[in-house]
Amino acid sequence: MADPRHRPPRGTAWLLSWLVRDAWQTPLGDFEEWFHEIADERGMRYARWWYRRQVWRMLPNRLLAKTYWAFSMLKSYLVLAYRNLLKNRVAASINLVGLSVAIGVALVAFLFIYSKTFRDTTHANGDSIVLLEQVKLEESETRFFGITPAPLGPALAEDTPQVLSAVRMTWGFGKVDHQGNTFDQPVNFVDPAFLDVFTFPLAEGFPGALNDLNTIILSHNAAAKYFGAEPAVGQELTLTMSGQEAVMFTVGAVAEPFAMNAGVDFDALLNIANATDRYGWFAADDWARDVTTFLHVSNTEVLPDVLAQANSYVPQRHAAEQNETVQRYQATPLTQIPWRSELNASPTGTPPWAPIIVLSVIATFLLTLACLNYVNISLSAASRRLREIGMRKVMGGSRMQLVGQFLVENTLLCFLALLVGAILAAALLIPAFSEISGATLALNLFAYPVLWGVLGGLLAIIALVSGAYPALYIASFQPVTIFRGQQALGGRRVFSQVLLTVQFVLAFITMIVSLNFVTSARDFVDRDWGYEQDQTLAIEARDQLERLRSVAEQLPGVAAVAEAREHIGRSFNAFKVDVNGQETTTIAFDATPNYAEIMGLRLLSGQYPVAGVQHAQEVLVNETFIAPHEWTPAEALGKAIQADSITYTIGGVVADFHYDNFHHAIKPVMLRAGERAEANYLVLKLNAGSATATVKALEAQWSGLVPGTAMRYVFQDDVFDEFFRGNKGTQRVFVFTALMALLLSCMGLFGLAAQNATSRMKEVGIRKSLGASLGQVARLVNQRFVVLLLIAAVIATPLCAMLVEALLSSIFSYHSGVTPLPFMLAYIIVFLVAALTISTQVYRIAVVNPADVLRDE
Amino acid sequence: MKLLTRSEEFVLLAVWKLQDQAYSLPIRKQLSQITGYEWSLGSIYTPLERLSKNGLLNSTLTDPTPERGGRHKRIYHLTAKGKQALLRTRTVGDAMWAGVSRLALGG
Repeated sequence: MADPRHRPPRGTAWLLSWLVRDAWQTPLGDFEEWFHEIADERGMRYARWWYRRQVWRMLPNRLLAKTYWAFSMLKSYLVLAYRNLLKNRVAASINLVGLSVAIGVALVAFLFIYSKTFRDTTHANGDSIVLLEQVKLEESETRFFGITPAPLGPALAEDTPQVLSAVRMTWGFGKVDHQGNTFDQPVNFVDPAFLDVFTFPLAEGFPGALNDLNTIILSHNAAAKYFGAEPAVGQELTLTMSGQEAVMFTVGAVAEPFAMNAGVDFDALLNIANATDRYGWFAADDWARDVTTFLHVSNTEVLPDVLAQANSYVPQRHAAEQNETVQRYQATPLTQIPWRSELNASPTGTPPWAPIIVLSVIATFLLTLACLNYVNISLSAASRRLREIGMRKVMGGSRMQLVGQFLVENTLLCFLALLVGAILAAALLIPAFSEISGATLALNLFAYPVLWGVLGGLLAIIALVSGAYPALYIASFQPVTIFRGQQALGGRRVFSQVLLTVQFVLAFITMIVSLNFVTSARDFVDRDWGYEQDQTLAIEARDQLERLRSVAEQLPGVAAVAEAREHIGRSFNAFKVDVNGQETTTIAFDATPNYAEIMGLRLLSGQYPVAGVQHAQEVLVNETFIAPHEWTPAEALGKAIQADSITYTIGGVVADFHYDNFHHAIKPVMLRAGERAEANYLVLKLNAGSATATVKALEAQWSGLVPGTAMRYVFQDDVFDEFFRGNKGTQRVFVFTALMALLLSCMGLFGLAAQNATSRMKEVGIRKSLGASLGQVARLVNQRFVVLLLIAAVIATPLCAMLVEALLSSIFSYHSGVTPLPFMLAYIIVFLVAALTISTQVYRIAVVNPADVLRDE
Repeated sequence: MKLLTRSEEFVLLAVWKLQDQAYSLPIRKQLSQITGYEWSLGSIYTPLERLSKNGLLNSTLTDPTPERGGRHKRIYHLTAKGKQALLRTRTVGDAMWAGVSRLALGG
C-alpha cells in the first residue's frame, strides 16, 4: 500500500480533487478505495486506466457547472464592488483620480518611448527594406556608416535580381520664398521609387509625380505651412538651395501626416536627379560620394548574395578615393536602424535615452504613488467591512474566494481609472506634451494594436500591485476575532505608516528636484555669457555682405562693423592643432580683427588684433585653451600653435565665453583674424537705443538687393532663445510631475487621516466630554502624520542632494548646483499643503458632538 | 408523502442491510450484484444525496483510512422517517402486485 506506484495517477487525482468540491473529500476517498479494489482484481495498469477514464468522462459536466458558479459569483462580486464604490465615495474618488493621472502619464511615456524606439513599423514592405551600411577601418577601429557610394544602389539593382529596387536619399538645405516671407526648407533628394518602396499615403497628388524633375512633394506640415488648408497640388514654390540659383517647382503631391514612429520621413522631396544634373553636387557615377541607400529585396534570406555582390564593388570605391578605408558592406533591416548605436550618419538616429529615462522614472513614480494610495486606503477601509468578511467566512467562503472578491473590486476600479486615464491622456496630456517636446504622439488604438496589449498589461499590473496585498491581508482575518471585536490592526498601522512615509519621500524628491531645475534655469538667464551680448546685431548676409556693409557703416546708430565666417552663438569650426607637443581639438572662429573687441571678449593678457597690421598668424585663445599647459595668461603669450603647415602664435588670452548653449562644455577656442575671411555674418555694434531704426534701414536696403526675401538677423542677446525655450518645456514637465506627486501624496494623506479620525471618533468624544480642548485632541489625533512628514523630509534631503547634482550635470555642462533655496521652498510647500489636508480632519473633530458618537454603545 | 423511486428504494434497502458498512462503495457493489449490471458511483451519490436532504438518511464520518488516501468514509443510517417510507413503499408495492400471481407463468 505504501508503494507509490500503487496509487492513482497523481495528475488525474489532482484534477478530480479540483473538480469535486466536497469539504470532506469523501468521493475522492471512494474513488481511491475502488481503485485499489480494481487494482487487486485486475492489476495496476488496468486500474490506472480505469481511474483516468472515470475522471475524463465526468470532466465536461463538472467544468460546465464550475463555470456557471464562477460566473454567478463574479456577477455578485461586481454588484458588490459597485455598491462599495458608491458607499466609500471619498476613498474611491481618491483612488480613481490618483490612478487615472498616473495611468495617463504612463501612457504618454509609453507612446513617447514606443515612437522613439520601434520606428518605421508602418511600411507595408517594412520586412524587406534594408539600409546598406559601409564598414570602414579607421585607425585600427572598425566604424560603421549609414551612407554608401551613390552608384552602388543602382548597380546592385541592375545586376542582382533579388534587389527589387534601390532607393537613394541625400539631404540639402534651402530657402523657400513664398508670399514675401522666407522659410528654411530642408529637402530630401530621393529616387522616384521612394514612394513605392516606403508606404507614405498621399493626401493629394500621385507618387509618379516624383519622376518629373520640376516637381516637389511636400509633407503634410510643409503644405500646411505654405498653403494652409488650400489644395497644394499645382501650386508653385520658389526654392533656393544654398549656394544655388532660385528654381520654381510645382507641387506634385502632399503626404498624409506621418506615423508617430516614423524615423525615415521628409519635409519636401525632390528627384535625386536634381542633385546630380541640376545642381551638379556630384556625378551619377561618382564612387567617392556617399548617400543613404535603402534596398528593397525580395526577402531577407537573399542578403548574403546581395552583400557579396556589393563587396565586389569595393575596388571601385578605392579607385575613386585615395586613402579609402572601406572594408565591406553590410545591411540592417529598416526597423533595426535605431538600435545600431555605433552607426554613423544614421538616417533615423538612436533613441534619445535621457528623456526616455526621465519619462519612465516619472511614470513609475506616479504609478507607485497611486498604488500606495490604493493599498493604504483599502487597508483602512477594510475596518468598515470586518463584519462582512467574518460573515462570509462563517458562511463557508474560502480565503481564496475572499481574495478573489477583493481583486474583482480592485480590478473594476482600475478599469474605470484606465478609461479616465486614457481620456485624460488623449485630451490633455498628449497635446501638452507634444507642444513641449515637438513629438507627435497619438493614442490611436486602431493604428497601433500594441496599445491594446499595453492597456491590458497596465490594468493587470496595477490591479495586482495595488490589490494583492490588501486582498491577501484582509482575507486572512479570523471570524472569531472579528466578531469578538478583537481584530488586531497594529501590524497594519506600522505598514501603512511606512507606505505614507515612502509616498512623501517621493513627493519631496520630485518637488525638490523640479524646484532646483526651475531655479537653475533662472540662473542661466542671469549667467555671465563671458562677453557683451547687448547692443550687438548679427546679420546672415553672405552674398549681400559687401553691399550691406557699406550701407551699415553710414548708419548713425552703428558704432562698429565686423565680418565673421563663424559667429558666437550661431556656428563654429573645429580642427586639430598641436600645442606644446599635445594634440588638441580646438574650436575656431575666423573674423575680421575687430570682431573680438566688438563682441566684448575680455582680454586677460596680450592685445586685440589691430586692424591694418598683418596679424594673420597671431591668434587669441581662451582660458580653457591654455589650461592643460599650466600657463598663466601672461606666460601663454608668444607660444606656438601648429596647425597643418601653418604656425600661429598666441597674441592674447581672453576669458572663457559661451559660444554654444549651456548643454555644452566650453572647449579650447582660437580666434583667427583675417581681413577677408569668406564672411557669412555681418556683426554690428549698435549705439544704445538705435536697434529698431538700424534694423529698419538695413531691411529696406535688403529688399532692394534681394527682392521678395527677408533679411535674417539676430540680436546677440537672443541667440540662446531656442535653448531657453527647450528648457522651459523641460521645466514644465518637472513642475507638472512635482504637482502630481504632491497631489497624490496629499490625497493619500487625506484618505488615511480621514479613516484615522473616523476610527478614533469615540475617543475624541470621550476626551471632549471630559474637558479636553480642541488643540489637545487635534494634536493627539494628527501628530503621527506630522512625525511621518518629518521623517520623510529627513530621508529625502540627502537623496535629493545627490540626485539633483547628478541630474543637472547630466543635462547641463554649466549649472549652479545644489542650492538650499529649492529645498526650503519644497519643505514649505509640502508642509503647508499637508497641513491644509490634515486641517480638514481637525475641523471634523472640532464640530463633533460627543453625544452623537457615544450614544450607540 | 411521495413514493420512493426504484433507485431510492434499492439504496435505502442496501443501507439497511449493510448496517455499519453502509457507505457508497459497498452499496454500489451490492446493487450491482443483485441487479446484475454495473451501477456507477454517480448513480449512487445522487439518490444518497436526495434522501439525506429529505431526511430519510443521516450520515456520520469515520476516521480517515490509508487505503482511501487518508480520507473519511461517510456511513449512512436510516432515520425513522426512512424506515417509514420504505415500509409504505413495500405496502403500496404489495398492493399493486396483488392478483397478478400468474404473470411469471406467462399466462
